[in-house]
Amino acid sequence: MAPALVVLAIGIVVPAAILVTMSFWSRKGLGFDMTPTLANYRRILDEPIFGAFLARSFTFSGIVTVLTVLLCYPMAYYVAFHVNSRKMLWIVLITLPFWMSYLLRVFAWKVILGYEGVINASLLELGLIAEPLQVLLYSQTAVIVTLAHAWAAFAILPMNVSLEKIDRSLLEAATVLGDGPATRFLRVTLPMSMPGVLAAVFLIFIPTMGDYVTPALLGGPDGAMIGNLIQLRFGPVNNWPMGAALSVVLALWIAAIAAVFLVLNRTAQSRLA
Amino acid sequence: MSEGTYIRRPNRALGIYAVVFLVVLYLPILFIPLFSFNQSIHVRLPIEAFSLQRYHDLFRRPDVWNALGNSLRVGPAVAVVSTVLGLPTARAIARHRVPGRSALVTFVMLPLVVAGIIFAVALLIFVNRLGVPLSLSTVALGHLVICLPFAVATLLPRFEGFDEALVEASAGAGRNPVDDLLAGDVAERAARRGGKPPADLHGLVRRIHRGAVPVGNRTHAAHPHLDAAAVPARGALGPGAVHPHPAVLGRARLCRASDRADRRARDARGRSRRAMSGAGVLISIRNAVKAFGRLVAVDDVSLDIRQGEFFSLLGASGSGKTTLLRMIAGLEATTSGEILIDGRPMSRVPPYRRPVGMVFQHYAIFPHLDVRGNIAYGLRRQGLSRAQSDALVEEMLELVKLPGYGARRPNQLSGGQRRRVALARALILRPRVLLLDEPLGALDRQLREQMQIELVRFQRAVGITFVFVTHDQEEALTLSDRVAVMADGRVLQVDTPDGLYEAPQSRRVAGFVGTMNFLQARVAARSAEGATLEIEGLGRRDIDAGCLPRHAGGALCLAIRPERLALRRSAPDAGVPAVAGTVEARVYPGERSHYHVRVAGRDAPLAVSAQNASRLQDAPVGEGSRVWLTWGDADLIPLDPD
Repeated sequence: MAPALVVLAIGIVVPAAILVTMSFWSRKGLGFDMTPTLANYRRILDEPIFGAFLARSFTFSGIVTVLTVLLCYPMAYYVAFHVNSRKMLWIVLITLPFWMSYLLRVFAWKVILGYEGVINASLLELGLIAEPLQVLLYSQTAVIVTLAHAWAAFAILPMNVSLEKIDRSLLEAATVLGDGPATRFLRVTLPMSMPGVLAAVFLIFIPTMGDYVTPALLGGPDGAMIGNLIQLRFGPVNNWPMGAALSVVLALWIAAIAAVFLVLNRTAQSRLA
Repeated sequence: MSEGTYIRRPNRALGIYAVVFLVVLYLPILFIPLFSFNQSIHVRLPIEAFSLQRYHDLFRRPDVWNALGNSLRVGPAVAVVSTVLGLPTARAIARHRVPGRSALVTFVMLPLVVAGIIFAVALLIFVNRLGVPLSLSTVALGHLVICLPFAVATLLPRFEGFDEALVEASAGAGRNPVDDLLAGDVAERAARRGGKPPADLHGLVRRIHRGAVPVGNRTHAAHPHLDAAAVPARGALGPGAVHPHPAVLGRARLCRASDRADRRARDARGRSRRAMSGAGVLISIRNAVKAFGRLVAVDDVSLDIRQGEFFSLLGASGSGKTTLLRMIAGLEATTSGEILIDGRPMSRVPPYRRPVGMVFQHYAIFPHLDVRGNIAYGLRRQGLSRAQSDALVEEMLELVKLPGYGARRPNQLSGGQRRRVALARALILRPRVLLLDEPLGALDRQLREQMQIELVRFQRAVGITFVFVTHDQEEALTLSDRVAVMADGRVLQVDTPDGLYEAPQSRRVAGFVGTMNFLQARVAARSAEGATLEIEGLGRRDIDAGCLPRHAGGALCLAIRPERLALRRSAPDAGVPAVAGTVEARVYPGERSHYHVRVAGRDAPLAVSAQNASRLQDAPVGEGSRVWLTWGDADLIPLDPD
């Protein structure tokens, strides 16, 4: 295991250390002033835009996560309980789109949501609207829809695994003990699939928090997220120390959320052990 | 209800949802290839003209080929390196359960937990500070860092699954479910003593198995509720509940006609013993059929199960016994026919409204609830107050001898305790009938015999009808008031245990219950009193009409139990039916000896079983000895042709 640890150390620990160090520097001309300062962090606290973007990212990710988990749970349930002989086919069908490039899937939504895209063209054709809708693309909705679509497999797979693991005789026991289908679902299936639901929440929430590709391509001014703010610091704005500080704040923020999930997950796991 | 298992009934709404889901998943992606043939560069529908222009351009641009080449180099390289590095890491993490393990796992998984952009940024700064120019190698390094955790995360469960099942088994530990069960009980005993459970439970169990630890106390400790003195001797339970050893019955004259009278007498005894006078029919199964596609699991079964009875369904696996039990519970819909409980047809009653309780083969204890939550599970519908339901649960815990276990989690229980929780959970609802699906299947012989006694006593105490599924004929005979023998989805015979043993109606029943010698016979002559039969291996015998099947033609099949053949060293007096033979093999399991005796006129040797006399009396009959077999003609059981 040593080589893997070396790679991870070089790939994670050293860059992270440099990132943290740089967050205490400041910009000087085209180079850096390496005197340690808290100025970047102070700016993040003082200027409301950073807090607002962090909050917006949190909201976006939250909506995307809840939406994806809610929409994917029935699918995971269907594959676990109602597909018998061709289970593998369904799993492959669900995961196949995710073998394609993320960028490609984001562009696909541009085609659907665009000013002259599939939805607007169809609605015009049907005579339901007179002018193409402008709210579809370059909006918060576009970002949320695209992210939910892009992360569906990550929600379905863990939930499907934990649903598959439920011993069918437990459901039969609940039935014989007097539970109808709805009660049985609420009292046995749902609590026993909680580890999968938590894993799905975890797997979607964290990457979407820091996503910058989708907002950059589909978000427009209202759809930008904290990731775009960081990206700008390393690109056009060219303030690397500020970008590093923002990254550190985002990392801490995510770590705090992850810690909450981990505790929840551990509780769920130990209850089902 | 539609065909199929209750839990897996097709759900149309869910099916439609799944299809719509897939369409929404694929539709956006399908538009990409569509627009690649668009002549215009605008994303606009409907597409006005198609062309291959884009593809044509692609092939002529060297930068496209260059980028494609880069992708083809980075992708496989990262995949190979991640796997090569991830494999030993995952294996090491899975194998070594060291204290720092979870910290290590968290570290390895870090890139999964931290957003991609932070990594990209951190690597960018890193590479920039090193002064390394951005290149394909730096791209590959970035991908490697992100991909390595994926490789470890996917491989880790595989190695962990390995550890538990295969590694320990291959280490020759010889673990089986009973070990686990005993281990649990050892822990429990230690906990009661106020001590800590021994650290190496499996080691202790193994030592017990090898005899290194005295076992005198073990069975007692494993079942603290079973006071040794309170466990009755097998015979004391009465003929209906526990089948007395055939030798105890003596050599009663048993053939079909007299047996019927015997059975009537036994039934009468049974009724008075159980106060089942007027024994009402509780469950009536009428021409029940269950087909799974073309496979007919239960084939036209009709049965009546009486109120208060301990009724067993006995059969080999695949005989349809479990399916029939599940049909009574409503977990399998009947394809045709009807099941009535208390005279009420059940076909339109869903399983959650039927007056039945069920103990599942592996007990099906809810792992997310504690013992109290499990037992009180079914009370929810009855609208009891918390105090009332708690009181009922405590009462049930007393009944199953688990007082004070209410707050335990299922994973802290031994197998025997789980079974008792399953019983309590079903019985707290006062069902009219309790269905048990091989609940003693996984136990070893000794433990199972104790559990059997416990179960019979328990059934008497609660007075609820038990329907018990088992593949173990001895278990069925030991426990039941009546047994239905099943094969290929049909009921072959329903009878009391001694009825099944002494008067099997068909060759299959006779062969399934105990050991049996089958003898082909030919009617040589008929007379008013009976017939003269030419019996394979036994010679020519005159048999009473009462002992012959009514429709006996020219040929028939007779059966005789091994213990009904008596072994003699010398020729018996003239007039006693006897045949000479040679002992071919002898098995000595203890209490009795089993012999294979070769006789003239028969291909297979006859099985003979004899009580072992005092060891001082005479030398055993060795292999190769010349012996004589004698029998009573009334012990010959005529069988229906199959």
